[in-house]
Amino acid sequence: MHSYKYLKMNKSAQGILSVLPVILILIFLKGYPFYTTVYESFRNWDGLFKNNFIGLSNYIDIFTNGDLWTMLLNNLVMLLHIPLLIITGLIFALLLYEETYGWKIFRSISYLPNVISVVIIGYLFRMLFAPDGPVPMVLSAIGIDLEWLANGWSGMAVIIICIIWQSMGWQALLILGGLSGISVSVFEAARIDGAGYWTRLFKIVLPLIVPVIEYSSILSVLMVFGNSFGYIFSITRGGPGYATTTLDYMIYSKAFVTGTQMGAACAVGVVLAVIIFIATLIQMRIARKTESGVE
Amino acid sequence: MLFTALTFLYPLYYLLINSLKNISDYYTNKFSLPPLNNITFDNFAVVISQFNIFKYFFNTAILVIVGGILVLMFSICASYSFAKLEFTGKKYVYIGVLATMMIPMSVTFIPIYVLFANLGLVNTRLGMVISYLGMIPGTILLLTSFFKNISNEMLDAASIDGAGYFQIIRNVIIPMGKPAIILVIIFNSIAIWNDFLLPLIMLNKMDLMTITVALSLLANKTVTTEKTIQIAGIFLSILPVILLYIFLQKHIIKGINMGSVK
Amino acid sequence: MQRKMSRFLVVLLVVIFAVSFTACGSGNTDKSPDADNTKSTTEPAPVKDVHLVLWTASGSLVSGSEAKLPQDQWVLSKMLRIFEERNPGVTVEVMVEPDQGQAHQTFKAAALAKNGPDVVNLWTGLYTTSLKEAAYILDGKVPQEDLDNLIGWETVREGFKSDGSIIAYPWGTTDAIGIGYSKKLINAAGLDFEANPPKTTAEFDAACEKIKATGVIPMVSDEGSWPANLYFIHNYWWQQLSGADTIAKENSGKMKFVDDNGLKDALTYYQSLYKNGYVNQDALSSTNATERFLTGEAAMRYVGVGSIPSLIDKMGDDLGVMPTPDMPGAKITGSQIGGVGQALVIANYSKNPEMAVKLCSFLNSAEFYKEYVKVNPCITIRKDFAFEDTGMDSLPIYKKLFGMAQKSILFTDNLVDSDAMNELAKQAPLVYSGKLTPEEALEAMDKQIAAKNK
Repeated sequence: MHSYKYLKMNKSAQGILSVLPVILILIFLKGYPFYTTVYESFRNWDGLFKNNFIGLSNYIDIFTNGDLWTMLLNNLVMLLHIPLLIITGLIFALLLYEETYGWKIFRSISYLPNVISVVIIGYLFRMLFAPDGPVPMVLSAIGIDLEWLANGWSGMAVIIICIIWQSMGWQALLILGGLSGISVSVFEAARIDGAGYWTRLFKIVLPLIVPVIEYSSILSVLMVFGNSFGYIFSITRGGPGYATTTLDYMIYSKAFVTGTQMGAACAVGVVLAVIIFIATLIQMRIARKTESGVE
Repeated sequence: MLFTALTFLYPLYYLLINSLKNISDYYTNKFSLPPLNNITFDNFAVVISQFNIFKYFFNTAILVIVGGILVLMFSICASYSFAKLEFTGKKYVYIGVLATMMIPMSVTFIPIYVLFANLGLVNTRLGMVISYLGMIPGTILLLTSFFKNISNEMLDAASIDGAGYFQIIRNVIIPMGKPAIILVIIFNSIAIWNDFLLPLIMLNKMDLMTITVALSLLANKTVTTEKTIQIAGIFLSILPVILLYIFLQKHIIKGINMGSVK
Repeated sequence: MQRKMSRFLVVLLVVIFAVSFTACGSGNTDKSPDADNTKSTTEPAPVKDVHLVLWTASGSLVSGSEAKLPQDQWVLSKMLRIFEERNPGVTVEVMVEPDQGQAHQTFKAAALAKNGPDVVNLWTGLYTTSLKEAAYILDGKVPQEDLDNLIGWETVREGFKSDGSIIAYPWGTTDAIGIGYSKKLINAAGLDFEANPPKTTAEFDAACEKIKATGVIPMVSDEGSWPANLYFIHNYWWQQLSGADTIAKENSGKMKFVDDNGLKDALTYYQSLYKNGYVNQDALSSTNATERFLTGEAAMRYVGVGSIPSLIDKMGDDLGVMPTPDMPGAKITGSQIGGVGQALVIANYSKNPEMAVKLCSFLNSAEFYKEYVKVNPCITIRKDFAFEDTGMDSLPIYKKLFGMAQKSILFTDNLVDSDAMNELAKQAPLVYSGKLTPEEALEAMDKQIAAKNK
């Protein structure tokens, strides 16, 4: 046993050493690249050897050139999926909770799309909504003729439908988990007091699942700003024109499609990071307020 | 409810029936089941033998396994520390680690690519695995909140018995943290399997490619323009994930709620 | 405790093994293995172990039809083994990019890191010449017989002048993008494109009207299949109206795209095709142009040399081809978009540039092309290859294409600054469907150029 004494360091040292590798890894994988992005955003790097300091020129361009607002708008439109997602998720969670017929099967099936790759689902939806695909054919039978992927707004609609199809199971199950956390006695008491179904729903259930909804909306917002690349790439490639391009797709586009405006792409990246940071702060503040409001 | 479930699954059904049609049947009618006398497995045959889909499965699986193990190793140690050990500045380090989750891939992947190119890590499995270490913060988030609930009595008992650092982890944390750990393994594996952007820019070599990138090749008409083959490829690639899901449903569904109830 | 410690060590060892296994599975981009050099030769081979890495894309050195096959069955692989036999001590490794457009970017990062392929297969024109700083300049290094026997050198020279610095080797095929049509449907409209093809856009409009009257879509297009997509249609008109010099001026910002009347007229006419219903109205997002052309829903479709074989399979002799009609006031007439599209760039960080030059020369040799056309009939860039050497069947349509290819002008997108071109490609569908005016698209292009000259 004496040979293992060196392992019995004091707990504090253990603690620090446990997290040290992680800290180093994160500095390498996130800290340094982020620093580089900020550094390059002030330069006119063209992907090769041209790399001179140009001050705020990139940033000025971003804010005066109309494109930033278009893309931001697209990001915001994408955020619209969140309320839709929450509502559909809530409806299904309630149905599952009430154990309506077939609920077990539905519970399994609903989460399935979430485990499939975003890109694959995107291609699938692209096929479904293409002019020769099932959706337009069914719609034209009832008289609606729409070329989904040819317009900015309808392209956005396809993306939103796709996100909802993929995330609905996740949202419903999250809410279901929250619902299960409400003890049945609360409902009993309410029913004894004469409260009807809808009253029970709005006055009891909704306030109590607010934390769950906050958690999922923070994640959804993060996804819209930081991770929507997969959907856009596979469904619309940002088109037509720039109508469905969001900020993070723009970075990819500038950096990897033409690749000569790396400095500018980095500037967009920094702007994006700042936006995400602000959005998260706002959400956390709202979360704190509602939590204290509930109590 | 049952009806909704079935409509929900329609896109997958569409994939299945069309992957069994030959190309002229596909053109005739995209919705119908394949004519019973003409069900063809040729599409799958092409995808397996010529397009070599199993190689891509293998490549992706290696990344999942090795990446998963490494992420797990580092995260368990760090989460144990955040949950149970004390050291100066712990709170700030914890917040810092979680804050890195806010920096999206799109902001860092340009410098990461150049950095890796400088280190000769592009197009190497090692480089790919290292970049997946970025999943550590998310993993730590899940594990830490779970580990906090491990009773301190068990830990004290182990300490009294003279257990050192690694012993505690092996004998107390891991067994008691099993539900969360299993969950993390499942979620991380799915995420790595499905990842697209990183392999797209980092793994260009044909024999190192992952399944998602290989599929985008297939869908991009550089390999084939026959839609039925593309559909068959997409269907096959989803199959492992679906099977995995069916077997592990219970754990997955249980785990979705773990991160949310604080 | 001892057991537990050793168990932990075992786990650690397993992980280390796993990690090193993955490291071994990596690509050897910067090491020089010599595993294959066990062949003994009688040649006095003073070459030390040389390992060359070649990047290409499917549809280029590896033809589209071969891409599905295992790597060792490619013509490229077989020919590379022959190259290795002739140059003992040399091994060549091939990496295939899924997306050739992207290869340009990944090569740039490799050039920055000075760590990547020795030879990379990119697109000619500005795509390549803009990478001059990363390329091994070939002035004085190219064997004279290659300069004499291959066409396409001006597409890889700086400034496209015949005395500009040579940035890369041209490679592959010269193309001709023309209008393919179904003779049956054309005749049904009372026209005969074989004898009397529309030579001007006015004649083309008249012809489309007649075809439309028979209830068939005159020209079908979609957003995916090359070259049936809308990408090239206006490019030829632009070049024939404005000329390559104007384009060069616009690239450097000396002239603005908004003032380029040639481009404006080209885009306006292009818009009119859609407005008049001469093209399928869902061209922006449809993906089945080929289907429609084959099932007789449409009379015409843009084709390139590579598109012909699969079409002939289904249509046989019904398929005809003709050059693009000319716009009024064109400086260049009777030609079409095409030319040499592929180039081989040697990286300036390559440790073995002379051997890389030898490789490029070999890939352009008559014996290489002879094998290549067996799996991919095409019009190669070798001047000494006549029609019979193209591997194409002696059908009149192929002979016609061969003749057309001799008169192609280079793909406009290879001449235009990549950001501006990308902008045009993005905005063109909007212009086409009338959602954007040509002027607005041109302004967007100007913005791109302005952003670069900082």
